Amino acid sequence: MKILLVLISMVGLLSCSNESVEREQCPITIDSVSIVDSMEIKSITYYLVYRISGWSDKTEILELYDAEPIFDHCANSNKDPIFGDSLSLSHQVKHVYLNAKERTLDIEYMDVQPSNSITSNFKLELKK
Amino acid sequence: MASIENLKKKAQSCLAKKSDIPMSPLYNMANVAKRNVTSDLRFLQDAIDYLTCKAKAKMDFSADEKEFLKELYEAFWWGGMYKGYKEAAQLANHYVNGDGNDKSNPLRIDAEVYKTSKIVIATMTALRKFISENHKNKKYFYEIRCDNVNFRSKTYAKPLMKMNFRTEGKMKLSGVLEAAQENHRLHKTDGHFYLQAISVIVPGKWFKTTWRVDSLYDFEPFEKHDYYTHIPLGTGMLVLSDGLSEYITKIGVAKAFWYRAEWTEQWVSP
Repeated sequence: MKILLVLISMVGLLSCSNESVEREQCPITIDSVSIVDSMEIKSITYYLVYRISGWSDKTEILELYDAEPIFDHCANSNKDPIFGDSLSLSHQVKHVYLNAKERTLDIEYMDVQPSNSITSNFKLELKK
Repeated sequence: MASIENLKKKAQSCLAKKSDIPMSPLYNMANVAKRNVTSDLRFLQDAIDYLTCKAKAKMDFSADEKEFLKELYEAFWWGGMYKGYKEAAQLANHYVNGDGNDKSNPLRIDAEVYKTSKIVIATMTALRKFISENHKNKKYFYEIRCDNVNFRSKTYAKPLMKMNFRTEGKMKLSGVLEAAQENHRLHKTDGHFYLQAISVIVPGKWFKTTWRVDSLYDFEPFEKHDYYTHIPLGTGMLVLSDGLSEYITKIGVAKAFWYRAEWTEQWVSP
Protein backbone atom coordinates (compact mmCIF):
# COMPACT_ATOMS: atom_id res chain seq x y z
CA MET A 1 0.00 0.00 0.00
CA LYS A 2 2.81 2.38 1.00
CA ILE A 3 4.78 1.58 -2.16
CA LEU A 4 1.68 2.26 -4.26
CA LEU A 5 1.22 5.68 -2.61
CA VAL A 6 4.89 6.52 -3.19
CA LEU A 7 4.54 5.54 -6.86
CA ILE A 8 1.40 7.67 -7.26
CA SER A 9 3.18 10.58 -5.57
CA MET A 10 6.18 10.19 -7.87
CA VAL A 11 3.95 10.27 -10.93
CA GLY A 12 2.44 13.45 -9.46
CA LEU A 13 5.83 15.04 -8.84
CA LEU A 14 7.21 14.23 -12.26
CA SER A 15 4.08 15.04 -14.25
CA CYS A 16 3.30 18.40 -15.78
CA SER A 17 1.82 21.08 -13.60
CA ASN A 18 -1.50 22.72 -14.40
CA GLU A 19 -0.13 25.99 -13.02
CA SER A 20 -0.08 28.46 -15.87
CA VAL A 21 1.90 31.14 -14.04
CA GLU A 22 5.66 30.56 -14.04
CA ARG A 23 7.14 31.37 -10.66
CA GLU A 24 10.76 31.54 -9.62
CA GLN A 25 11.91 28.26 -8.08
CA CYS A 26 12.83 28.79 -4.44
CA PRO A 27 15.52 26.71 -2.69
CA ILE A 28 14.43 23.66 -0.68
CA THR A 29 13.87 25.86 2.38
CA ILE A 30 13.24 29.58 2.41
CA ASP A 31 14.36 32.19 4.91
CA SER A 32 12.03 33.68 7.45
CA VAL A 33 12.27 37.47 7.23
CA SER A 34 10.74 40.26 9.27
CA ILE A 35 11.17 44.00 9.52
CA VAL A 36 11.85 44.46 13.22
CA ASP A 37 12.55 48.19 13.50
CA SER A 38 12.96 51.42 11.56
CA MET A 39 14.49 54.83 12.21
CA GLU A 40 14.40 58.10 10.29
CA ILE A 41 17.59 60.15 10.02
CA LYS A 42 17.90 63.21 7.79
CA SER A 43 14.76 62.27 5.85
CA ILE A 44 15.99 58.71 5.14
CA THR A 45 14.11 55.90 6.84
CA TYR A 46 16.34 52.95 7.69
CA TYR A 47 14.79 49.51 8.11
CA LEU A 48 16.25 46.72 10.21
CA VAL A 49 15.46 43.23 8.91
CA TYR A 50 15.95 40.02 10.86
CA ARG A 51 16.49 36.98 8.67
CA ILE A 52 16.80 33.33 9.71
CA SER A 53 18.10 30.95 7.06
CA GLY A 54 19.20 27.33 6.78
CA TRP A 55 17.69 23.93 7.43
CA SER A 56 18.87 21.98 10.48
CA ASP A 57 21.68 24.46 11.18
CA LYS A 58 20.27 27.98 11.17
CA THR A 59 22.02 31.31 10.58
CA GLU A 60 20.62 34.55 12.00
CA ILE A 61 21.26 37.69 9.98
CA LEU A 62 20.62 41.39 10.43
CA GLU A 63 20.18 43.51 7.31
CA LEU A 64 19.87 47.27 6.94
CA TYR A 65 17.86 48.93 4.14
CA ASP A 66 17.51 52.59 3.26
CA ALA A 67 13.95 52.12 1.99
CA GLU A 68 11.22 49.71 2.98
CA PRO A 69 11.99 46.33 1.38
CA ILE A 70 9.36 44.06 -0.12
CA PHE A 71 9.99 40.33 0.01
CA ASP A 72 8.84 37.84 -2.62
CA HIS A 73 7.66 34.25 -2.05
CA CYS A 74 11.31 33.08 -1.86
CA ALA A 75 12.11 35.73 0.83
CA ASN A 76 14.24 37.71 -1.64
CA SER A 77 13.96 41.49 -1.26
CA ASN A 78 13.13 43.86 -4.13
CA LYS A 79 16.33 45.81 -3.37
CA ASP A 80 19.73 45.04 -1.92
CA PRO A 81 20.39 45.83 1.72
CA ILE A 82 22.96 48.59 2.28
CA PHE A 83 24.51 46.40 4.99
CA GLY A 84 24.14 42.86 6.29
CA ASP A 85 25.94 40.45 8.56
CA SER A 86 25.35 37.12 10.21
CA LEU A 87 25.17 37.10 14.00
CA SER A 88 27.53 35.36 16.37
CA LEU A 89 26.35 31.89 17.42
CA SER A 90 28.02 32.08 20.78
CA HIS A 91 27.07 35.53 22.07
CA GLN A 92 23.83 37.37 22.80
CA VAL A 93 23.27 40.65 20.95
CA LYS A 94 23.35 43.61 23.34
CA HIS A 95 22.99 46.62 21.05
CA VAL A 96 22.37 47.22 17.35
CA TYR A 97 23.74 50.68 16.56
CA LEU A 98 22.91 52.40 13.32
CA ASN A 99 25.89 54.18 11.82
CA ALA A 100 24.11 56.41 9.30
CA LYS A 101 27.33 58.10 8.18
CA GLU A 102 28.96 54.80 7.18
CA ARG A 103 25.58 53.24 6.30
CA THR A 104 26.38 50.19 8.46
CA LEU A 105 25.37 48.55 11.72
CA ASP A 106 27.64 48.19 14.74
CA ILE A 107 26.49 45.09 16.56
CA GLU A 108 27.58 44.77 20.18
CA TYR A 109 27.47 41.44 21.99
CA MET A 110 27.26 40.31 25.60
CA ASP A 111 29.54 37.56 26.86
CA VAL A 112 26.66 35.09 27.29
CA GLN A 113 25.19 32.37 25.10
CA PRO A 114 22.22 33.55 23.01
CA SER A 115 18.92 32.37 24.44
CA ASN A 116 15.52 32.05 22.80
CA SER A 117 15.66 34.77 20.17
CA ILE A 118 12.79 37.16 20.10
CA THR A 119 12.88 39.34 17.03
CA SER A 120 11.40 42.30 18.88
CA ASN A 121 14.60 42.38 20.97
CA PHE A 122 16.44 43.94 18.07
CA LYS A 123 16.09 47.71 18.12
CA LEU A 124 18.00 50.29 16.15
CA GLU A 125 19.93 52.62 18.44
CA LEU A 126 22.21 55.58 17.96
CA LYS A 127 25.52 55.71 19.80
CA LYS A 128 25.61 58.55 22.30
CA MET B 1 4.22 21.05 40.55
CA ALA B 2 3.20 24.18 38.69
CA SER B 3 5.03 23.00 35.58
CA ILE B 4 3.14 19.66 35.62
CA GLU B 5 -0.12 21.61 35.84
CA ASN B 6 1.07 23.79 32.97
CA LEU B 7 1.88 20.74 30.84
CA LYS B 8 -1.56 19.28 31.64
CA LYS B 9 -3.24 22.49 30.53
CA LYS B 10 -1.15 22.55 27.35
CA ALA B 11 -2.02 18.90 26.66
CA GLN B 12 -5.76 19.58 27.08
CA SER B 13 -5.57 22.59 24.84
CA CYS B 14 -3.77 20.52 22.15
CA LEU B 15 -6.32 17.72 22.31
CA ALA B 16 -9.05 20.30 21.73
CA LYS B 17 -7.36 21.16 18.42
CA LYS B 18 -6.97 17.53 17.34
CA SER B 19 -6.35 17.18 13.65
CA ASP B 20 -6.49 14.21 11.27
CA ILE B 21 -3.10 12.78 10.36
CA PRO B 22 -2.33 12.46 6.63
CA MET B 23 -1.69 8.87 5.53
CA SER B 24 0.89 9.78 2.89
CA PRO B 25 2.48 13.22 3.24
CA LEU B 26 4.50 12.65 0.05
CA TYR B 27 1.26 12.32 -1.93
CA ASN B 28 -0.15 15.52 -0.36
CA MET B 29 3.12 17.39 -0.94
CA ALA B 30 3.23 16.30 -4.59
CA ASN B 31 -0.36 17.53 -5.00
CA VAL B 32 0.54 20.94 -3.59
CA ALA B 33 3.87 21.23 -5.42
CA LYS B 34 2.58 20.30 -8.86
CA ARG B 35 -1.11 21.17 -8.81
CA ASN B 36 -1.22 23.77 -6.05
CA VAL B 37 -3.99 21.92 -4.20
CA THR B 38 -4.21 24.22 -1.20
CA SER B 39 -6.50 21.88 0.75
CA ASP B 40 -3.61 19.36 0.87
CA LEU B 41 -1.29 22.06 2.19
CA ARG B 42 -3.83 22.97 4.91
CA PHE B 43 -4.24 19.29 5.77
CA LEU B 44 -0.47 18.87 6.23
CA GLN B 45 -0.02 22.15 8.11
CA ASP B 46 -2.90 21.39 10.52
CA ALA B 47 -1.35 18.02 11.33
CA ILE B 48 2.09 19.60 11.88
CA ASP B 49 0.64 22.36 14.09
CA TYR B 50 -1.28 19.80 16.15
CA LEU B 51 1.83 17.64 16.61
CA THR B 52 3.95 20.71 17.46
CA CYS B 53 1.43 21.56 20.16
CA LYS B 54 1.64 17.99 21.50
CA ALA B 55 5.45 18.10 21.43
CA LYS B 56 5.48 21.35 23.40
CA ALA B 57 3.24 19.69 25.99
CA LYS B 58 5.61 16.67 25.97
CA MET B 59 2.75 14.31 25.10
CA ASP B 60 3.05 10.78 23.71
CA PHE B 61 2.55 10.31 19.98
CA SER B 62 0.43 7.56 18.40
CA ALA B 63 1.92 5.10 15.91
CA ASP B 64 0.15 6.94 13.04
CA GLU B 65 1.54 10.28 14.18
CA LYS B 66 5.06 8.86 14.37
CA GLU B 67 4.70 7.30 10.92
CA PHE B 68 3.49 10.62 9.52
CA LEU B 69 6.55 12.47 10.83
CA LYS B 70 8.91 9.79 9.53
CA GLU B 71 7.28 9.95 6.10
CA LEU B 72 7.42 13.74 6.17
CA TYR B 73 11.21 13.55 6.44
CA GLU B 74 11.34 10.87 3.78
CA ALA B 75 9.34 13.24 1.58
CA PHE B 76 12.07 15.86 2.14
CA TRP B 77 14.48 13.33 0.66
CA TRP B 78 12.37 13.18 -2.53
CA GLY B 79 11.98 16.97 -2.59
CA GLY B 80 15.67 17.56 -1.90
CA MET B 81 16.81 15.16 -4.62
CA TYR B 82 14.27 16.61 -7.05
CA LYS B 83 15.61 20.13 -6.44
CA GLY B 84 19.29 19.15 -6.55
CA TYR B 85 20.17 19.21 -2.84
CA LYS B 86 21.40 15.65 -2.66
CA GLU B 87 23.48 15.98 0.51
CA ALA B 88 20.75 17.81 2.45
CA ALA B 89 18.24 15.21 1.21
CA GLN B 90 20.53 12.36 2.29
CA LEU B 91 20.88 13.87 5.78
CA ALA B 92 17.11 14.42 6.21
CA ASN B 93 16.42 10.83 5.23
CA HIS B 94 19.16 9.48 7.50
CA TYR B 95 17.68 11.43 10.42
CA VAL B 96 14.62 9.14 10.38
CA ASN B 97 16.16 5.99 8.93
CA GLY B 98 19.70 5.95 10.35
CA ASP B 99 20.94 4.47 13.59
CA GLY B 100 22.30 7.68 15.14
CA ASN B 101 25.96 7.44 14.04
CA ASP B 102 28.32 8.57 16.77
CA LYS B 103 31.51 10.55 16.17
CA SER B 104 33.63 7.42 15.77
CA ASN B 105 31.39 6.03 13.03
CA PRO B 106 30.01 9.03 11.10
CA LEU B 107 27.81 8.87 8.01
CA ARG B 108 29.96 9.66 4.96
CA ILE B 109 28.72 12.31 2.54
CA ASP B 110 30.11 13.59 -0.76
CA ALA B 111 32.91 16.11 -0.03
CA GLU B 112 32.24 18.03 -3.25
CA VAL B 113 29.71 20.27 -1.49
CA TYR B 114 32.44 21.57 0.88
CA LYS B 115 35.55 21.57 -1.27
CA THR B 116 34.02 23.76 -3.98
CA SER B 117 32.93 26.49 -1.57
CA LYS B 118 34.89 29.76 -1.48
CA ILE B 119 35.34 29.87 2.28
CA VAL B 120 36.71 26.30 2.34
CA ILE B 121 39.10 27.01 -0.55
CA ALA B 122 40.38 30.18 1.18
CA THR B 123 40.72 28.40 4.55
CA MET B 124 42.66 25.54 2.92
CA THR B 125 45.09 28.05 1.40
CA ALA B 126 45.65 29.74 4.77
CA LEU B 127 45.97 26.41 6.60
CA ARG B 128 48.59 25.17 4.10
CA LYS B 129 50.71 28.24 4.95
CA PHE B 130 50.29 27.56 8.66
CA ILE B 131 51.14 23.86 8.35
CA SER B 132 54.18 24.62 6.23
CA GLU B 133 55.35 27.36 8.61
CA ASN B 134 54.94 25.09 11.65
CA HIS B 135 56.82 22.30 9.93
CA LYS B 136 59.67 24.68 9.08
CA ASN B 137 59.80 25.94 12.68
CA LYS B 138 59.62 22.39 14.06
CA LYS B 139 56.22 23.03 15.61
CA TYR B 140 53.22 20.70 15.73
CA PHE B 141 51.42 20.51 12.36
CA TYR B 142 49.86 17.03 12.17
CA GLU B 143 46.29 17.84 13.14
CA ILE B 144 45.14 21.44 12.89
CA ARG B 145 41.52 22.64 12.99
CA CYS B 146 40.49 26.00 11.58
CA ASP B 147 39.55 27.33 15.04
CA ASN B 148 43.14 26.82 16.27
CA VAL B 149 44.02 30.00 18.21
CA ASN B 150 47.55 30.28 16.78
CA PHE B 151 46.24 29.84 13.24
CA ARG B 152 43.58 32.52 13.72
CA SER B 153 46.17 34.97 15.03
CA LYS B 154 48.14 34.85 11.76
CA THR B 155 47.82 37.78 9.35
CA TYR B 156 46.95 35.43 6.50
CA ALA B 157 43.98 34.03 8.51
CA LYS B 158 42.45 37.45 9.23
CA PRO B 159 40.91 37.98 5.75
CA LEU B 160 38.79 34.83 6.31
CA MET B 161 36.78 36.81 8.85
CA LYS B 162 36.16 39.63 6.40
CA MET B 163 34.85 37.56 3.50
CA ASN B 164 31.38 38.26 2.16
CA PHE B 165 28.93 36.19 4.24
CA ARG B 166 26.39 36.27 1.43
CA THR B 167 28.46 35.22 -1.58
CA GLU B 168 31.62 33.60 -0.15
CA GLY B 169 30.96 32.50 3.41
CA LYS B 170 33.19 33.60 6.27
CA MET B 171 35.01 32.59 9.41
CA LYS B 172 33.22 33.65 12.58
CA LEU B 173 35.04 35.02 15.63
CA SER B 174 35.01 31.58 17.27
CA GLY B 175 36.82 30.11 14.25
CA VAL B 176 33.81 28.20 12.90
CA LEU B 177 33.25 28.50 9.13
CA GLU B 178 29.89 29.73 7.90
CA ALA B 179 28.51 28.64 4.52
CA ALA B 180 27.70 31.43 2.06
CA GLN B 181 24.01 32.35 2.07
CA GLU B 182 23.88 32.10 -1.69
CA ASN B 183 25.55 28.68 -1.77
CA HIS B 184 22.24 26.96 -1.10
CA ARG B 185 23.57 23.45 -1.64
CA LEU B 186 26.13 23.81 1.17
CA HIS B 187 24.07 26.12 3.32
CA LYS B 188 21.15 23.65 3.49
CA THR B 189 23.60 20.81 4.18
CA ASP B 190 25.70 22.41 6.88
CA GLY B 191 25.44 26.04 7.93
CA HIS B 192 28.49 26.06 10.23
CA PHE B 193 31.40 23.66 10.37
CA TYR B 194 35.05 23.21 11.30
CA LEU B 195 37.65 22.26 8.70
CA GLN B 196 40.39 19.99 9.97
CA ALA B 197 43.72 19.26 8.28
CA ILE B 198 45.48 15.99 9.10
CA SER B 199 48.91 16.14 7.48
CA VAL B 200 51.98 13.97 7.07
CA ILE B 201 55.23 14.46 5.17
CA VAL B 202 55.73 12.17 2.22
CA PRO B 203 59.08 11.63 0.42
CA GLY B 204 60.08 14.54 -1.82
CA LYS B 205 59.13 17.27 0.69
CA TRP B 206 55.46 16.94 -0.15
CA PHE B 207 52.69 17.26 2.36
CA LYS B 208 49.83 14.82 2.22
CA THR B 209 46.77 16.35 3.85
CA THR B 210 43.43 14.78 4.60
CA TRP B 211 40.85 17.54 4.84
CA ARG B 212 37.95 16.63 7.07
CA VAL B 213 34.65 18.15 8.20
CA ASP B 214 32.79 16.43 11.05
CA SER B 215 29.35 17.79 11.88
CA LEU B 216 26.39 16.83 14.01
CA TYR B 217 22.94 16.70 12.40
CA ASP B 218 20.41 17.87 14.93
CA PHE B 219 17.81 20.56 15.53
CA GLU B 220 17.45 23.19 18.23
CA PRO B 221 14.90 22.30 20.95
CA PHE B 222 11.91 24.52 21.78
CA GLU B 223 13.62 25.68 24.97
CA LYS B 224 16.71 27.00 23.18
CA HIS B 225 15.46 28.68 20.00
CA ASP B 226 12.07 29.34 18.49
CA TYR B 227 13.23 28.43 14.98
CA TYR B 228 11.01 27.39 12.09
CA THR B 229 11.86 25.85 8.74
CA HIS B 230 9.83 27.15 5.80
CA ILE B 231 9.41 24.68 2.98
CA PRO B 232 8.03 26.19 -0.24
CA LEU B 233 5.25 24.13 -1.78
CA GLY B 234 3.24 25.31 -4.78
CA THR B 235 2.34 28.93 -4.14
CA GLY B 236 2.40 28.44 -0.38
CA MET B 237 4.75 27.05 2.22
CA LEU B 238 4.83 24.44 4.93
CA VAL B 239 6.07 25.72 8.27
CA LEU B 240 7.81 23.16 10.44
CA SER B 241 9.00 23.96 13.94
CA ASP B 242 12.63 22.97 14.61
CA GLY B 243 11.49 22.15 18.14
CA LEU B 244 9.21 19.44 16.72
CA SER B 245 12.08 18.13 14.56
CA GLU B 246 14.17 17.87 17.73
CA TYR B 247 11.34 16.37 19.82
CA ILE B 248 10.99 13.41 17.44
CA THR B 249 14.40 12.18 18.63
CA LYS B 250 12.81 11.78 22.09
CA ILE B 251 9.94 9.61 20.85
CA GLY B 252 12.02 7.25 18.74
CA VAL B 253 11.20 8.65 15.29
CA ALA B 254 14.60 10.19 14.53
CA LYS B 255 18.18 10.08 15.76
CA ALA B 256 20.74 12.90 15.78
CA PHE B 257 23.93 11.70 14.11
CA TRP B 258 27.46 12.66 13.11
CA TYR B 259 28.44 12.89 9.47
CA ARG B 260 31.76 13.38 7.73
CA ALA B 261 33.12 14.71 4.45
CA GLU B 262 36.75 13.97 3.69
CA TRP B 263 39.17 14.48 0.82
CA THR B 264 42.93 14.12 0.39
CA GLU B 265 45.54 16.08 -1.53
CA GLN B 266 49.31 16.25 -1.89
CA TRP B 267 50.93 19.66 -2.04
CA VAL B 268 54.31 21.37 -1.79
CA SER B 269 55.18 24.14 0.59
CA PRO B 270 53.94 27.47 -0.87
